[in-house]
Amino acid sequence: MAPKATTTVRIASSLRVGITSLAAVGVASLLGACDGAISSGGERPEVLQASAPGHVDEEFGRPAPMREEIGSGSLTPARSIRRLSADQLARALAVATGESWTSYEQFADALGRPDWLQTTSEGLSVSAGVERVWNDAARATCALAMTHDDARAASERVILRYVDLSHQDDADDLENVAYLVRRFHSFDVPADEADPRLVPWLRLLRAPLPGAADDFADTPAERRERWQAVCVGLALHPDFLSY
Amino acid sequence: MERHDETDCSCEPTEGTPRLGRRRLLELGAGATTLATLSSVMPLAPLFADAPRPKRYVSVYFSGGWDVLMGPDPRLPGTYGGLDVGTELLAPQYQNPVAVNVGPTSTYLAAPFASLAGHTDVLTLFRGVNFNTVSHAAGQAYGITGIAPAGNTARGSSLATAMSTLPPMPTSSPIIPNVAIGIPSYNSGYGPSASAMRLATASQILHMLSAPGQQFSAGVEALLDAARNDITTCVSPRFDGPQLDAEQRLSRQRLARIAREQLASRFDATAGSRLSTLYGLNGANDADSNYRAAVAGELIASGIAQSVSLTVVEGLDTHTLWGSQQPMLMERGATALSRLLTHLRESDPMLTDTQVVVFSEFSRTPRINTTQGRDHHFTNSVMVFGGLRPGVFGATGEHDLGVINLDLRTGAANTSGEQLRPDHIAATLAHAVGLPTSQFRNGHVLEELLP
Repeated sequence: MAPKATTTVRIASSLRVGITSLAAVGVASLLGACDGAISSGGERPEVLQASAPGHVDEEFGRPAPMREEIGSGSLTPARSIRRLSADQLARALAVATGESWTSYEQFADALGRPDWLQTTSEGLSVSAGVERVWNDAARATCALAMTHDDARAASERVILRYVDLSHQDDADDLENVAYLVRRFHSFDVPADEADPRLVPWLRLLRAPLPGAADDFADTPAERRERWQAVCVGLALHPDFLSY
Repeated sequence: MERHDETDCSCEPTEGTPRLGRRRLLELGAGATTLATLSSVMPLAPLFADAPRPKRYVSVYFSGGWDVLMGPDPRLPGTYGGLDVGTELLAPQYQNPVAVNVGPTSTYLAAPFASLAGHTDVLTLFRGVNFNTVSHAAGQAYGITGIAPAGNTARGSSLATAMSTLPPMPTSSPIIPNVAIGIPSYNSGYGPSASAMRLATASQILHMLSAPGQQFSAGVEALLDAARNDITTCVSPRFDGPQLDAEQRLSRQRLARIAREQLASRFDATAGSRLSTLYGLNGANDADSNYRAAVAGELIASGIAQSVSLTVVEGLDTHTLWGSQQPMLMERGATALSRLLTHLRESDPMLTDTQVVVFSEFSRTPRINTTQGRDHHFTNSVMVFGGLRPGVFGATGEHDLGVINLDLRTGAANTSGEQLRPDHIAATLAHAVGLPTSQFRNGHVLEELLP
């Protein structure tokens, strides 16, 4: 019985250490996330350092397992890039715009969601049907997000985080487009006017309206419409639709 | 967060042509070796397809596993050693099969299929097809692709997808070459134009053919379109399938054309409309097999689509009370199919440029179970209207609905012959229109059926 009791104690001890460690990581994560900044470096929490190469686990008296470096960005991709599944698309759109698409259930099949009766595999192709339905989803949620932004404080706005529709400012536009690209596509793009990931959207905001009598009315209503179109464009972008 | 950031996005696929991947190269190599070996012992004509020819294609699916005894492979009332005809469980109008001539062959169709008697002059009826499964998903995948699935997972592309890559008919320019209504579609290696527009229900075609909601002013719409044309994406080089940005660009072009040509009006199903007259409709009703057939028929007849797959009827999985459910459902599907054929034959009377393939995932057991139902049975039938030589090909055991060996040159029973599989039918259909057949590894072209 004695060895079994010892093993039990060890397991309990390990669990306690593990739970404590997880709690420490959780608290550290929360503290780090409060300012909204994403940090790629800095000092690691103690629990991770304890498993550094060469470290000997005191409890079991053998080398602790190696851990992958985090955030090196140098790993070779292990799989092909895929289109998001229907459910993933709906959830991603809800995260990006902060709004749920209320017609999702009606058109989930058209986006490729299996019904598990007749269809058991995810449809991941992009057809005119997917483009059409996804257009609806993007336009509906972007419109809602813009409406709800009207009632939010600037720091809590989803689409219009760094701009004020009452006046146009190039620097604010640039900062907000970079923010939206980060929000929708997860690219941390510097606010650079010449960055090709930002150029199409800046042009959408600033170019004269084709066929308009006066080239650029520059009214709050028109600025609003253009920002809503930027939201739609980002949600229909291949980088949003894939992972 | 690090994302994919390659910038070389120049690798555009050739539409309608499978990409030349490693597997394809191996296939070609193996094919060349096989040809060299076979050329000395057998004629090679069936192995070489002509150039692809224009063709319209419709795949009609009876969902749930149809009872071939209530459709394409009936028995006359009587006593059979290993088979219950179940005549006493049927309403009087369903008890006696109807005599028909399928091409040069005199045979019977079950009473629920009587409405198809007017189209048996263009019917090639395959009986005794071994689907080799009693799993709904596996049988469905097998029927759609003509290739044995891996478990329940389809392999290869839908035959409908391959058919959508054929040259269009001279008088049409398909906007959406491939449409799938309530049925899966697979594209494994064909270009983006071959990917099906997938509709959960037939009436969704009206939504797809209308402009998106929440439209911006024309000027902002134009700027949004321009921005989407200008984007840089790093997805394509490693994308798992047809390239995403190319597919999106093509889809947008198609949607723009749909909007310009106001095609939704062609699908008016209200009383008095042309479709309502052809199909007996009284409005758009997704539960109505006739409406589903009408949407499919109009997609093909109008030239909007070149290849359409649809589930025409479901609920055939009648493990209980077979006699009071199966005949009505079979009749519902057959009636809609008959109207679809009539519609398509308006523009192609002998279906020389049209193939309509009708299948279910498997059949139902020859014996009736203790709950007066029939369970799953692998011996199946496939009906092909148009595109092949009309007639009956193959047979099932008269007394047990079993698979029997056939002489695959003639379709006659032959104990030293082989079993007929979906692969044979798919290979023959593909060859008949000039498509390659190497992917159908468990079957070969049935040369006798080529037109």
